[in-house]
Amino acid sequence: MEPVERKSPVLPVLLAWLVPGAGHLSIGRLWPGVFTFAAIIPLFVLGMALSGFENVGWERHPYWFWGAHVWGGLLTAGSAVLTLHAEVREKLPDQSVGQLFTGVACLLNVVAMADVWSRCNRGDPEARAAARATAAAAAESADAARPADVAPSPTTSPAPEAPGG
Amino acid sequence: MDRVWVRIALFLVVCLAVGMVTGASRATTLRGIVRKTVEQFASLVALIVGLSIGLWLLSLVAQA
Repeated sequence: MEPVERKSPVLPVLLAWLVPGAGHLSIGRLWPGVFTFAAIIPLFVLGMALSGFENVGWERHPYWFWGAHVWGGLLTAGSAVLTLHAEVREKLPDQSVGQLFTGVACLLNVVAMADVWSRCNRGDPEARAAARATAAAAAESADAARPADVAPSPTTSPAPEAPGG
Repeated sequence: MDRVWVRIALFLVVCLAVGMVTGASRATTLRGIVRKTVEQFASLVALIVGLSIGLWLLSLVAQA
């Protein structure tokens, strides 16, 4: 099994927190970064649109903000600052769904951050799975080869013929 | 009735987003990520639909 090259996870995880997908890109993983970005950003924006662009703010919704939205990094910071003086004019039909969407988007960024951390410390998941499969195959072949190497035990060996027949 | 379809579409959107992020966190290549995304999306939808049907059946039993 090849040793996993370990990298310091601090900067990639920080980047993953600030911009969804940037942590993966910083460790050279293009497609995971693209998928993370393409999942989180539209979900966040759709959630804001459903809520009338007023649902991200530490004064209006402190529990949501400090519990979930804070994990959105610059996305949350920009939205909160840009909608600082937004007013709730009317109750929208899907307002609570929008709140849920932005919360889920920011919590998904925690999953992406954890994945960046894991890739820095333990390598890629597919490489780990391949290494496990190789190790299992090697162990299996070693088990299969073992009986041929071991000398037959006295209990299983055939009885010697008596001299003189 | 339109609201129901909107809610179903929103439900599928959030399931797809969760599937994409969890799929991306379990694979590296594009092919692997797409496969994991489809798996995660399908399992998430099946889980939530199953739970919903189970709760609905429980409510029917409770009302009877």
